[in-house]
Amino acid sequence: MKLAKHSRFHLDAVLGSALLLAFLLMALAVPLLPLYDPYEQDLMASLAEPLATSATRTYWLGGDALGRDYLSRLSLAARVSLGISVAAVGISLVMGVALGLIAGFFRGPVEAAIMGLGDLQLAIPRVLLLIASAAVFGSSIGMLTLLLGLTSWVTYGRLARAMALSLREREFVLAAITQGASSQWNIRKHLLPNVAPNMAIIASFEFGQVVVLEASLSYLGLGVQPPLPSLGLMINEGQLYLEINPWISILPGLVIFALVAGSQFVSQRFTPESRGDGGLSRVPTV
Amino acid sequence: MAGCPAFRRFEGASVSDQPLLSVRGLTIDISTRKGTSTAVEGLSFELGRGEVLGIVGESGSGKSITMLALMGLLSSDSAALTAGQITLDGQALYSDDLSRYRRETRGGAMAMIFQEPMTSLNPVLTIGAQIGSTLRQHQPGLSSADLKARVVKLLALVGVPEPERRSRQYPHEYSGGMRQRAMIAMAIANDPKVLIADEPTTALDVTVQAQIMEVLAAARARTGASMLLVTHDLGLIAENADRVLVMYGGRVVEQGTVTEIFERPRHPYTIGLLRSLPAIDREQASLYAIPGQPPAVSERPSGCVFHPRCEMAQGRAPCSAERPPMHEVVPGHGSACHYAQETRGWADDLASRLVEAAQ
Amino acid sequence: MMSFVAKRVLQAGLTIAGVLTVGFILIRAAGDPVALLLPENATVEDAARMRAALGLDLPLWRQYLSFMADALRGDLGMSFRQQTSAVGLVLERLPATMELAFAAFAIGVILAFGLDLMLRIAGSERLRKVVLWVALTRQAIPTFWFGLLLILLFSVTLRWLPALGRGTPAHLVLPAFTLGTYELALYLRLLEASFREQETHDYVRTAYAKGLGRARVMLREILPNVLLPMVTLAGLNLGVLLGGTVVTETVFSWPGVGRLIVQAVSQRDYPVVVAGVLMTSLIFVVLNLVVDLLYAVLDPRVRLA
Repeated sequence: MKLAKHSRFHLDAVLGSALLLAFLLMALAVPLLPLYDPYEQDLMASLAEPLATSATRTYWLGGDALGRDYLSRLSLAARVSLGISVAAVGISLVMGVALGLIAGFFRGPVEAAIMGLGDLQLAIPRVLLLIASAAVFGSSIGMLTLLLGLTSWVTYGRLARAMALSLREREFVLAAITQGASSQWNIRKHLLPNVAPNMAIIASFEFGQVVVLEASLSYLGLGVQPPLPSLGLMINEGQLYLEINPWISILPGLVIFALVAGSQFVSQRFTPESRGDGGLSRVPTV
Repeated sequence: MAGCPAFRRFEGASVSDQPLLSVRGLTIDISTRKGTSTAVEGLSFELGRGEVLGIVGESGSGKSITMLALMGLLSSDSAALTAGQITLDGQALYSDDLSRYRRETRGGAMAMIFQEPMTSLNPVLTIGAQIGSTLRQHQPGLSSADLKARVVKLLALVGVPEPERRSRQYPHEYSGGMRQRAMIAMAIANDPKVLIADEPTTALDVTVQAQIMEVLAAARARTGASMLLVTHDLGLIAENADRVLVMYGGRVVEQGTVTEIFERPRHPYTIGLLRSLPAIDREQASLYAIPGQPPAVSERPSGCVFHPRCEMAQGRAPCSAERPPMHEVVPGHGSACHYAQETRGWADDLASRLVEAAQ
Repeated sequence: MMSFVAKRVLQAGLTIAGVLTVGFILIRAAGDPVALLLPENATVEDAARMRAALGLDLPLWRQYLSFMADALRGDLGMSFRQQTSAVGLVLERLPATMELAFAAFAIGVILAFGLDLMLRIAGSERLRKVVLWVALTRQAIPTFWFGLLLILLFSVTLRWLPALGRGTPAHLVLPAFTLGTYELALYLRLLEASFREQETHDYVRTAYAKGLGRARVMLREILPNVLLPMVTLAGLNLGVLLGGTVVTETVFSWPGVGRLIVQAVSQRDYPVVVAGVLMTSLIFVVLNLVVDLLYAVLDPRVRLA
């Protein structure tokens, strides 16, 4: 009877991390790369196919409807979308952890208020809340980032609260309290380090979700506004020309897919169940 | 404990008849995050018809996983039987082409009761349905009316009050003791030849423990089944077992009749175990405990698996170098110790030392 | 069980009140509607009169109360563009959205269960891993882009199916599958995680110890335990489904509530935007309540408590 081996090497996590890292680096490096001006229009190159050449230059990924160099636009769009997403995840992470820890540690009406706000937010589908908020408060880059961050804190908040609830009863916290440590110190020194690993897992998964949310908003025309490019916006722009040059819509989607897939693989590999910590399976080799 | 006769022994028990269950050289490997280790090594024993074999040992001794191996319930992703032969009533249990036979024995000729009655039952099915499913599996010809009648009869047999009404209830409506009774009902439903009870009373209140053992005794009396009673509770062994198997570190260290084991133990581990029980009949300054801790599965010592904690070894070479074979000290009484003949003297020595310390 | 029911109904009521409040905040934050509604040559008096007519000269808390009172009567204001009730406009589009959402849900759930159970009973571990990997990949694909790809393949290239609009059953195929494949992937992975978790429970070992075969244990013992949390999870995922429907409608020009909302945004028709969002949320809250009550009926531990 053969025994299954516990493998320590997971291809998908490695691949996922590599993908994410590559894109992040690329996005950061965009201003330094020798790319053409993403705003310069040349109607002669309108809807050019990838690898089209003209007298003076090659259009590596073709041109969009207005003849702008597609590779440049795509790079800039990736940078914009990534920037918004990373910042939004940061906002929701900080907000969620802060509110969650406060709710779990102080309990009482504070906890009820915070959790009630969270439940209320969850009752409205995220996309809809974003659409309505963007409509009312505007679609500037800053506002988009803020809105995306504000609508995504609840997952972090709930977990942080649950952990705070269990941790606050632990001996080291009670000991610190009896020695007169302030609540703030307790939260910082004791709760935060324990909460961090799980938050990292959530954040890596949520990153993918936020990327898609931003892209969806931009696709609907309610996100990043032209002439600034964004991945979702470019997909929308290309939808009219599917018959002529489908690449305009396909390529940005591939970028989004790579980002989300990367984030999913990474977060999945680090969740406890997949590490085999979930418990012993009771299913025998029948 | 010493000198307490084992009553409730089934008349006519004899190991010299063709044994009902025979285990030879059982070796079980487990796979953990640290790699592969051997949980049980070269285990051999026999179970006669109608007898109760008590298997005693601490957690980590390998007793529970041995029982799972007998039933073919080793978790597919973490444990495997790598060597050994198991024979039930003359039929080998672990041949590849007999996997179907193995499935038919499970719950049929060989049944098992587990330790945790609180979690061992399916929370969303009625007790009646759960007992019924094992009946349906092994006696497919039964009509559903017959099935229901048998379920009620089984529940009555194990002492569940209002069995008809109770059979329609869910596990969360039963107390811990009643759930264990239901588990016993499931196990005896198909008149098994071998009943394996893995710590059947450990998770229960003391007052309920005695009742459960009585239910088991009654069930055995009715069906003539043999029983493998796995426990760390020596008192339970003394009261219910005919023969005893002492396990440590994945191996059998001593085996014999219950009287022999309790009155004249012949292995330092068994002696230490018995000595560590609080005594009713004399004064004690403090409780004796075997020094040290049982080894983790992946860190078992070479040679005699008990030697690092053995106060009798005194660093002698064979103990750390060679694995001691099972010596037959007295007919029917085996000890896996290189110096088994010294054990009586050492036991007396230890006893007098403890008496002195109390004064 | 009754206390559970009462608590949940009360909770749902509070949530609805909260959602309506959010709607009120959004409407007020959208700015002064008077400027949008009046023609260019309106005078200050006209503006003042309109303001009074709309009740905008009252203190905020009174506006809030009248908003809530109206909302409970089913009135969420008038569309700025068309002189009809915003609620009415949404209700007009609702059947289309429900049709799409339901089709996607059905595809997702039915195929997920069928596929997963078949794979489990057949026992092919490798095939199951492949299927799960495909599901994970599908979940990484933004739904609207996936819809575009389907259009590209089936409408533009193969010309088998229509791309835009609603009319014949053929029109429903692409949008339903766009959303449905996402639901399928989701439920497949949920089932997988649920089964894996249940398999660590002791009752599974007891079931095998009784001699039951793999199929019986899967279907008769584990599946009921898997369905319970699945019901609750399905309720929560309805929110994602409704959100996804909104975006998918735009891809396929499907005349549902989502498309209405998006169009209203570009027209600055805030009452319609808010009405659409609020009503969708309300449906979500009510569906969740139904799901929770269903759970209470199905789980014997709650039903008989």
